[in-house]
Amino acid sequence: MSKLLGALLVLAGGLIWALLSVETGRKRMECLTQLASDLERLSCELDTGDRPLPELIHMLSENGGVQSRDFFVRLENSLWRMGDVEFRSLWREAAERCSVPLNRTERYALGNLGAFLGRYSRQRQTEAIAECGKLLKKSAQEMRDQWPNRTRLSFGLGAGGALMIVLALL
Amino acid sequence: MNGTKAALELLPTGLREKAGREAGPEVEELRLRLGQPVSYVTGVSERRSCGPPVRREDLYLLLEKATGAALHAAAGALEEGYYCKNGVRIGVCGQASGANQNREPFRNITSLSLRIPRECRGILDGVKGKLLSGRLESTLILAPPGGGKTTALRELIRLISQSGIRVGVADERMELFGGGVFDLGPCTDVLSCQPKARAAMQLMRAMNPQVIAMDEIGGEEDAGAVRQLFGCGITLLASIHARDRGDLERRPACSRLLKEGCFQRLLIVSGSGGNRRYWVEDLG
Repeated sequence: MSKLLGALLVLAGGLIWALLSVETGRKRMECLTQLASDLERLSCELDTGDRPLPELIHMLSENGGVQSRDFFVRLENSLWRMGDVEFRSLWREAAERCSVPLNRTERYALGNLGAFLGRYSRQRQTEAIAECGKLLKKSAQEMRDQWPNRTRLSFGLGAGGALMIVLALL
Repeated sequence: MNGTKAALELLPTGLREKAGREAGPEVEELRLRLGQPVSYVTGVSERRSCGPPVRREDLYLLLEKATGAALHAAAGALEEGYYCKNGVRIGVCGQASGANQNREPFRNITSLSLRIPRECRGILDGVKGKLLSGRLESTLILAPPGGGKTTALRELIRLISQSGIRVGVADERMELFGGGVFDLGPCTDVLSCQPKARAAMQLMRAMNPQVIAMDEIGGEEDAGAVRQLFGCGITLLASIHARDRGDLERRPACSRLLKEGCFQRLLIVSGSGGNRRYWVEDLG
């Protein structure tokens, strides 16, 4: 009886691992989409208005995507150093330290975007934002396309792994 | 916030601390030139700081702070000559990009000047009686560049407003009001960030002012607005670059305004620093 109970527990553990892995993937997908949409908003504001960047960052830290907000909140909290530290450095720092689940390439692209903001013409800024947004959207799209396979794979791995452990223990 | 403090706050920390110790109350401008230490311009001379030379980064950091990392938004103002932050006039020199649709006004910034704004109460005490007694007349303030026109206009607005007269201020670059840094009196309404001529017409329609004030009129558009306001029976206060009446008359647009009677008085500012003199000339 205790063996059966233990086997069930291991199986449940494998399934929970699979669920968590699927949830993390879903969260990352959402995050990428939200960050890309926040950047699009930033681009629109830069293109059509004359609002300074700190105001736009404040707007996004309050009303940006729930998952991607941490980046803008961190950036806003560091803006008091502007004037002593370049805006591009503050932006990069926020990109490196934020809890938004980005891979290395995406984080690098986001961090690099700060170098174009604030100093250059509207056109150059919006082009740079569009390029970064494109990369994030592409990653999100790839994840979406692979979603059914990834979900199956996660559950397969979870269940298979658990089964193997059970067999090994028995 | 006083003007010197407002200007110093725009400097990066390394330069700010040194300049804070060295810049006395007589300093009218801070000059930052690439590779040179900060200079302090007074009414009579320019002296150099013994601090470190200004780096290109310092110039950009200053502009970034002043414009809120929005050089693109400040491009229009910079193309016209200067940008204003908290009343501090920031002039820029460098490699201008010309008539580029892409609007990147300066590629390599090489020097910046920060003109320290002043709120000098009492500077018009000597001419106050003549300016404010009886019917308030349209007055044109004359001084050469850096001669104290804006300071005199600010004080005149405050005095008129304090006497209970409604003053509308067309503050195109936020230099007169400084976004609330300066006291322009209790009966003053300020319309900022709008071309002067358009702002003056808007003020006239919306705020029912008895007096409208504009700083540094010059172009044909400004002259057109002055003419239109004059025709509406509004008293005008304005300032213009000129040393004296002779200078004004050499400029066709200004000369026409005088001939048409748009202004009844000239307030002439001469001298520099603490030795400024103010006198009023009636235009017959």
